[in-house]
Amino acid sequence: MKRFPKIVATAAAVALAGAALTACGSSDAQSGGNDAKGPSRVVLTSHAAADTLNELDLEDRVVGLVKSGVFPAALDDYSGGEFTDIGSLKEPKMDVIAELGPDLILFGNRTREMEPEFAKISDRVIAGDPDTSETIASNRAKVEEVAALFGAQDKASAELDKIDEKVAETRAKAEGAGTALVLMTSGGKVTGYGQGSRFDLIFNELGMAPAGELEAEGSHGAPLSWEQIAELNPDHVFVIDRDAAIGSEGEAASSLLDNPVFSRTAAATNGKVHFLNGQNWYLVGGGLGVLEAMIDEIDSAVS
Amino acid sequence: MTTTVERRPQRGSLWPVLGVVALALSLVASVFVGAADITVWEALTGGLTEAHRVYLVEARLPRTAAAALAGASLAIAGLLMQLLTRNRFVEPSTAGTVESAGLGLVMVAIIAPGAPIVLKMLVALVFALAGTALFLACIRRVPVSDSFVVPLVGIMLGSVIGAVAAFVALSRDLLQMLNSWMLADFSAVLAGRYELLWLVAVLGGLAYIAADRFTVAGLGEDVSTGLGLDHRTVVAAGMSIAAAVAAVVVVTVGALPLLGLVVPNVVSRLVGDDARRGLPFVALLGAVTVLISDMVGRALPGFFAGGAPGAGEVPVGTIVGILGGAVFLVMMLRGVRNA
Repeated sequence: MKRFPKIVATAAAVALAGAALTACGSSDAQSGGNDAKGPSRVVLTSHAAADTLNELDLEDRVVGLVKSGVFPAALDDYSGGEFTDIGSLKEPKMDVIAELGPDLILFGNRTREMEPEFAKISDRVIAGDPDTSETIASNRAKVEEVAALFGAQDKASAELDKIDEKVAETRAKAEGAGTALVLMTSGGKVTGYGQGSRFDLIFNELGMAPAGELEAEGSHGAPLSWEQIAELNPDHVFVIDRDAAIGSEGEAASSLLDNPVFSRTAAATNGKVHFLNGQNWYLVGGGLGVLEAMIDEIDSAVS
Repeated sequence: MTTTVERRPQRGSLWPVLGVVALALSLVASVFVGAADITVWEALTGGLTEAHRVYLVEARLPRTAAAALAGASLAIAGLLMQLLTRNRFVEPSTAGTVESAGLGLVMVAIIAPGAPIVLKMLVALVFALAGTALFLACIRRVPVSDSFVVPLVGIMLGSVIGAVAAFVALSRDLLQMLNSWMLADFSAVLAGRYELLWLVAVLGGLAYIAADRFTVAGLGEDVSTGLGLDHRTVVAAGMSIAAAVAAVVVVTVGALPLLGLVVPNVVSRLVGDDARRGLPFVALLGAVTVLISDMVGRALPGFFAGGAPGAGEVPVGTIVGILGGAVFLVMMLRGVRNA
């Protein structure tokens, strides 16, 4: 099924490479105003990078991004038709991307394996999502890398410093806030995330103490029984409703958690069950604006 | 079920006693295996803490009941399908039944995502029945000279239906949900959230009442018609019971692959092929197998993690699948007697 688009993509890439050679022979020495600097036809399969470009007021450089399925509300500025829908986070349409003739592709973690194919379409292919094992630091590196391409370092570093300040503030509050557990609900089932998981931001960088050691591997977490959750007895529970994040109305997380076993946890007794913005945490996971919003959520939970 | 003890099968009269004892032991063990240390002594002397009482009543007893019901009923479903297709390899996951139920669930999740679970179950049931009927139609058209051909046809049919379900699920981001239906996991079972499963006990009872007819139908169309049986109706009824069991189990806890294949074959080696005599044993052994598999799934990660409650669980479907796959393979390699 993918064979045909691949041929198209390759053909387009060859054509583009030729065009690039003639047109941008001296792109490094490109002069002129700041406005014209950097790539002008950006394609994204990374929501985090899309958010960063939006925050840097560079969304007019974007020609296409993954909008099929649930498109996070945080990226609303891209809802217009001038931003071509290139498919879904996991399955971008290579032929559509090739047609757009991008001079920069920022790919997300869910399309990491497609990097070689992206490289056939565009000369410049960069990973756009932060690494979940050190979200803050790698988000900074990603943002700086992207900003540098457009000469927008000054604006980016101001925003990044603001994020670092917030991290320090939240860390200070998290220190005495007790233990935490992240739960993702989907289709009536619950999985847990602790230190070392994709939501390590909460533990590793925002400084919440994990409620027991959870199996870190697997992007969908450790399957926990209600009794195990009650025995872990976290002081704070952060809930990500995956079904809401992906737009299907599953059993709502709140009704799933409303049971006598979960009610025994310290978090439930003290009203410390926090429902996080599933789209931001599950689908975006970083970026200049969204990361700040994510930190704010944890901050207000421990305030 | 105790009636079988009085019936005294000709050989191996120890089996009923053994079966009942094994079931009783695994039921008790299942109630007392878990993240928290609850001892039988505490439960008997009323020395339970409030937390432990909640765990027992709200989580462990329902979970134990769910495992026993799903195991017993799926094993019966396998027995019925094997009798009626006259093939030892046929069971809900080798006849397209489970995959069809999954497809039905995906469809209802797309068309009416907020539908009550009873409606979801009915849709899964209709799809399971249709898929099983398609399987029967297929094997009627295939020259069955080799007993392996029948399950192969069923597995292929199931793969095609499963692929359609996966394709639809993928396009709507429901793949994770589909996977959770295709692999049983009792970790989310709580009082108030599994009770539909008691329906399969009713279906199992129906199968027992009609067991003699199924045995006769299993002799083949000519013989059973000669004996005055409406062969087609009996086959349709039996396959419907099996499909309904599979649908209910898939909706409530997820599929237990190959359980219905392993258990009836083991039982037939032990007590023979008579459905009325075999059925209670099949139910017992099915329940015991799933109870033990679920306990292993619960205890295994904690065992490696030194008893930490955050170790998670291995889904019971995985363990049953591995077990079933191994037995299936051995049966294939040995070549089955009178298959």
